[in-house]
Order: sequence, then structure tokens, then C-alpha cells
Amino acid sequence: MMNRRSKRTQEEILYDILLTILNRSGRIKQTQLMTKANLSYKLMKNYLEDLVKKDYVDFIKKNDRKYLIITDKGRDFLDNLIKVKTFKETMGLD
Amino acid sequence: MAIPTLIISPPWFRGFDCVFEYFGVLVFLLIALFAYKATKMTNDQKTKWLFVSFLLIAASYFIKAFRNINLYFPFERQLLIGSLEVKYTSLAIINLVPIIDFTSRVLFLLGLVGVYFLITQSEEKKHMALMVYFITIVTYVSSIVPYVFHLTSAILLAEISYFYLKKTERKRLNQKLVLTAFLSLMMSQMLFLTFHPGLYVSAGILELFGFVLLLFSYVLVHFSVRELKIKKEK
Repeated sequence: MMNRRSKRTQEEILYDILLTILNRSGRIKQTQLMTKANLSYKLMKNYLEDLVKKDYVDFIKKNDRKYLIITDKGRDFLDNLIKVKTFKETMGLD
Repeated sequence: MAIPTLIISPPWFRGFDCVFEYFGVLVFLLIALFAYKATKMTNDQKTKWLFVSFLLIAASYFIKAFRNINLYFPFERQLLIGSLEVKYTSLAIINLVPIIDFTSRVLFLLGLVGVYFLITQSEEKKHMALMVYFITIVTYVSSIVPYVFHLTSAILLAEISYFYLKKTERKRLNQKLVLTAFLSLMMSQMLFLTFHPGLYVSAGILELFGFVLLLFSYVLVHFSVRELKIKKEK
């Protein structure tokens, strides 16, 4: 998880959302995501809309419950985000 | 012709230094391209400036290596333009050496200043124009007093190393590699400023060592995905 002392950037929030889903075996409920990724409902909704539009996450229904899943495209995007984050740390840019 | 004053490298080392410099071009380009990719992905201004800075340094090494190759291995070509026969020798570059050296040095120093501003996270970007002016002056002076360029580069690299060391408290392996790379490049500039053929070889090798370390740290970035996921799963 990113450092919470300062306000998170858009990139950091995306990273937190995708990594949280991935760490819950690629499937999570929205309420759990809010808690784990430390997001308000409004903020989470905004980000999820964008992520669904870009095909990084998707909704599935199982036993009458709505879950969020990370897509293959989302996994690739997360891989790239991790590389960029490490790259910035490596070059002293963070 | 005044070639010996333009060449510091001992005869047996000529060509090797160009290979080292072209390797440096590749490493800086590779990192610059990744910074460009990161900028496209996250719209981050820092990676954008890193891209520009590393591109300037790569261009500088490319120009330097091109200059040296033409001076070390002169060749002559004949061109037939209509009925006119024109002889061209690569040594004609000698007349352009002052301009080539000036360009290469300005690009290198601008690249280093860019990295310095990024690492210190200086808010004083408004002074960038003034820095460009001073760099141009320093480079002009270095065409009369050549060691000024290497001294300025060494000072900038020392500053970069110092602030990098202060900033990266966690000191992961790739951060240690980048720090050692900056220090190697700084040491190589200090050896270059002696203009001694023997020390020129040591400087070239140190520079190569710095490039290899930078490449290694870049490669490690690509292994970070696996490492981070494994850490999270534990």
C-alpha cells in the first residue's frame, strides 16, 4: 500500500485499487475494496467507472452478490504501474 | 594537423572508448524510453523531465563518440557529382571539432542539471533559463580552458550523488546501484580532467562501469513486479 501521510496521486489510487483486488484472489466486494484501499464511496465509484470503461476491472454476480474482478488487461496495467513505481523509486523521483 | 592535441586516448585504447560511449548511449536511451512510456501512462511531469534529461545525455555521448571515431580512424572517399570529382576525408571534421565539442558538452551539462533539479525536487524551475545561460558560458569557457567542463560535470554529479543518497533512505539494491553509477561517473569526470592518457583509460573504464550499473538497475525494475506480488502474498 502507498504511503498515507500525504495525499495520494491518481496513479497511487489506481495502484491501490488494482493491487487490493489482485490480493483478494482477483475478486472483491465493493465494501471490502472501500475499506482495504482506504477510499470514500464517491471516490471509489468515480475510479471504478473509469476502470470498467478501460476494461481493467469488471463486475460479476455470484450467489446474488456483486463482485469486482480484475481483468487480464487490468493485470497487465498493474504490472506496468508497479514497474513505473519502482522505476521512480530507483531514479529518486518519488 | 593538430590531431594529437584533440586526442587524449592512448593509441591501443582508441576505438574501445567509442564502444564504451555507444554503450552509454544505449543505456541512457533505454532509460529515457522507459521514462517516456511512464509519462504516457501516468502523465507524470517528473518522468517527462527525466526522459528529456537522459535523452540529452545520450545525444551528448553519441556526438562525442562520433567525433572520436572520425578522428581515430580517418578515411577518404571520392564522390562523383556529374563530371566533378570531390574528395572527402573524415579528417575534415577537425574544422568542426570546436562546434561538435561545444554541442556535446552543452547537452551533457544540461542533462545533468535536469537530473539535479529532479533529484533535489527543486521548486526553483523558474531559474532554469538562468542555468541554461550559465551552462552555455561554462561550456564556452571550457573550449579555452578544457578542464572546466569536466570539473563542472564532476561537481554536478557529486551533488546528484549526495542528494540521491539523502533521499533514498531505504536503499534497495537498485538504488544502491544507481548511487554507485553516479559516483563512478563523477570519478571518471575527475580523471578525465587530468588529460593524462593513462588516466583517460581508467576514466573510460569507470564510465563503462557506471553505464553497466545503470543498465543493471534498469533491468531490476522489470523484476520488481514479481518481487512485489510475492511480498504481498506472504
